[in-house]
Amino acid sequence: MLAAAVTEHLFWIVSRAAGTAALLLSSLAVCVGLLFGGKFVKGRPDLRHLHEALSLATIVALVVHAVSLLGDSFMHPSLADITVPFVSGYMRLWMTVGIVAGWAMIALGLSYYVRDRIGQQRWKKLHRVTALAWLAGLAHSFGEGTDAGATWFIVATAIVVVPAFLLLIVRHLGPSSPQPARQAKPARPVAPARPVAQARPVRQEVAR
Amino acid sequence: MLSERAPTVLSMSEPPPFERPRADRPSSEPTLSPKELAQAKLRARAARIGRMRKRVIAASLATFVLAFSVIAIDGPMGATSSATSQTTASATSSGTSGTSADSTGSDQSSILGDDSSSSDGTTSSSGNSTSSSENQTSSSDDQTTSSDDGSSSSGSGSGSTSSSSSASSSSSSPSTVTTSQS
Repeated sequence: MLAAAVTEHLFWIVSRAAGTAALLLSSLAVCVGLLFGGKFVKGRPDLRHLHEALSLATIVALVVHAVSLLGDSFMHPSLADITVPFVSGYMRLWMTVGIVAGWAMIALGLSYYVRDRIGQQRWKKLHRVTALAWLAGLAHSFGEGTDAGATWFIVATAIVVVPAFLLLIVRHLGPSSPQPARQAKPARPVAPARPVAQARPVRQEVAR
Repeated sequence: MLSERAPTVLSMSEPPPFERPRADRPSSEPTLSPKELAQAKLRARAARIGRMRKRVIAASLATFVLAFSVIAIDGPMGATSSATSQTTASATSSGTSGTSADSTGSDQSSILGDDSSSSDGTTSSSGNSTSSSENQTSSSDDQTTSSDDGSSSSGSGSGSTSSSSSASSSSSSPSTVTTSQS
């Protein structure tokens, strides 16, 4: 009975499971990224590699989520339906949100490997958009997802989404560290212009 | 390197408490040059990252398998939509078969328990579905047909069309059948 149902809707179930896995993995990746990007955790350089591995796993899950829909005999979408926004007639808005979020996640995630060409500062600014793509994916899963009302899905999502939300809020509402560093830089050339008499006590304090 | 503490005067004067003398060290441990030490650290770091990547892959696969299992057990159409599909399927089967009176009656009573209160025939069925006037007509047709037959064989052509359109329209026919029987 169960095997027959699974065989009949294999691609559909695979797509839903991959979408769920993509949502959970991307939420974890956002959590880890905010943890080491926001200097919440110090002395753990491996978090960067964990963030990278989770992001790559998310991309793979996203591709499986989309491609497996092509084999679904009930919806039977075309390649354009699952890759081009506003083409699919099935829940067009949420489908479009999901497609845009998916493409954005793939592009922003893989842009890490060409960040030298993009430029470090520009890439860092660009990488912040990933949070928006993640939020769009979250909206897609709860707006269109078949399991959006299921308890297991809500609980599993809440476990990883709530910490990511909190970290995102703390990161954006908290004090930003790069701005004071930039303001301190122009003050440097002024320091040598100070009189020697004022500089001496400072040297003594440092020596102590 | 930077995380190590800077040597103080006290630490320079006294030997470290837990450091063994050089003679007690095992002879198999060679003295590493800084370059070899750096390479060993790099190798250890690469192995650590490799282990972490394997764990992430394993966790991803476990998440996928877990989600797949839960979805397969929960039902391929989800919790709410599977109930709807069952309702539609039973309504369609009742409309198309039309011969099994017992199964039809049990299905309808299980799906819509509110129809038991509809003892007014056509008037009550219009209260159930006010938007569709065709369903009222079909239900009245079913009522006349069932009164002629004396049984609940409501599988006429109109019944099949109404059941395929919506579940509420198919539920009107059993209520009228019950009324005619009573």
